[in-house]
Amino acid sequence: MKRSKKPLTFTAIAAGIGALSLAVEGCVYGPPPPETNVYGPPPDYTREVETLPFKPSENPDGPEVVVYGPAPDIPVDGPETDVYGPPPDYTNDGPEVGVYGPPPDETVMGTEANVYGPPPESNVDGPEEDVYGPPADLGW
Amino acid sequence: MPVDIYEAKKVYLDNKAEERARLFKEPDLIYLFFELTRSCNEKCFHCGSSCAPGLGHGPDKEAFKSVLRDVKEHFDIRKLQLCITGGEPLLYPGFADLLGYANDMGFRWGMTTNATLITKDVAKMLEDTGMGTVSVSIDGLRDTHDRQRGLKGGYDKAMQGIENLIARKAFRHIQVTTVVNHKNIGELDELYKILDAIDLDSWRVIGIEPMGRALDYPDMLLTPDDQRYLFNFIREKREQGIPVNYGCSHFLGLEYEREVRDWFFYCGAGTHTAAIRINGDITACLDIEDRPEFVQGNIAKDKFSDVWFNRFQVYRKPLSSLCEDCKKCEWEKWCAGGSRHSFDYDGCRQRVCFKDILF
Repeated sequence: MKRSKKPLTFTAIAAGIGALSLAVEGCVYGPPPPETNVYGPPPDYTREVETLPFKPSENPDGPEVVVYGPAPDIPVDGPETDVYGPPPDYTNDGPEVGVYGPPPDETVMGTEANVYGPPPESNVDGPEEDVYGPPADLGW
Repeated sequence: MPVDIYEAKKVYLDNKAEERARLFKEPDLIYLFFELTRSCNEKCFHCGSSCAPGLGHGPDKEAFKSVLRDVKEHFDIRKLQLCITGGEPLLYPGFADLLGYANDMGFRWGMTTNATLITKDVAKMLEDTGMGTVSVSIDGLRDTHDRQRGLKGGYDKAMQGIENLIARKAFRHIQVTTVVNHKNIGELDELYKILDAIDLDSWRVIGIEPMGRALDYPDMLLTPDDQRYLFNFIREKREQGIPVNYGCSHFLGLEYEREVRDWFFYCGAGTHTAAIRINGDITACLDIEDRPEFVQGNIAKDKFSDVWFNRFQVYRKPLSSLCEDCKKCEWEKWCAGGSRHSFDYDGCRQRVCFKDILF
């Protein structure tokens, strides 16, 4: 993977130019540059101008920590479930559960053929598509 | 983390909140999605749009071309990215003709693909039609990937597809996207080693979302411990200059905001993002639940530009206005109710909220 020539995390950027400088500069918001325009909102640009010297907080244990500190020891929503709230209403997951859960005892992929319906009548690209649905039909 | 880092982030988030308010009044289209097809040669258990083989294609290419002409007339297309998605977009009839047309008109375009169909010839076609960016799905090590995506041999084909893309040396950005769930999260380290050995531009690592087919598999959703592990994993890589990004979803709190991705949270559905579904419906983000109130028009009878400029109001107000808990939340100013695609519009609550998990 390519390495970034610029620091990627806010903390690393702040270490370079000072967190308060970053705060003063604020967020310069604009259209994304082409090279980062894959998915997601436009990146937040920082103008790397050192307008103020780095100034450590005088009160690192101050009230901000209380307000924005770690989560309470006792989770509000009880024990570890998942973060998405209650599960869906239906309870009958049927035979498909085994497909996406732990590996089945039989690891041959062909055993899952029934999940995806009957094999297509024609088979162009070989056995694996034969098992998992119609062969690719390139549209272009 | 020192308090002054948090304070600096608050300034950015405040600016982002102001920007959000401005965009509700003055939307700025940046991402236009074309859902070309719901057909796919894979059948991923987590697919947000429940795609599968043989589900059919979107509007005729001439209808999409008409949208492109309208967009070019009414928007600054230098600021706009055309995002091609599906299903597997390469299955769409007339793919090369449509995207070649877009390229000739000056549109920048990229696509999401499973890459299993990207042979050397297809890679050349993608270069010839001007593709700039591409995001390829790799969802785990070989066996996991194949099982979760329902195609034996899919992993090897996808990796070969990536190699075929890289070999062209023609694309601006080649990205791998991994959807992390409770079962494959343990493979992240090993998968990283594999992907790091490839000349990729970035790795997008996102959590499975409670939508589409994934709703059938609640045991695959990430636990709070999984979530914390995931964010720490991404941050650690980024601290080393390795371009791993969490997706665009969800407010992550002061600890992780702007550490695990290149921007502060903002759900741009309807202000930065619009989409054409396979039935021609004009909407915002394709991941948002397909409900009548979110359909703002249809390209068979409406001009996209008219719809964008004169409708879309449902997307141009804070999501938090629908949720009583959000209204009372101390983070509402920056979170604004979170991502629109994960909101429960019947229960009026956010399904994915990291409060008390990350912050």
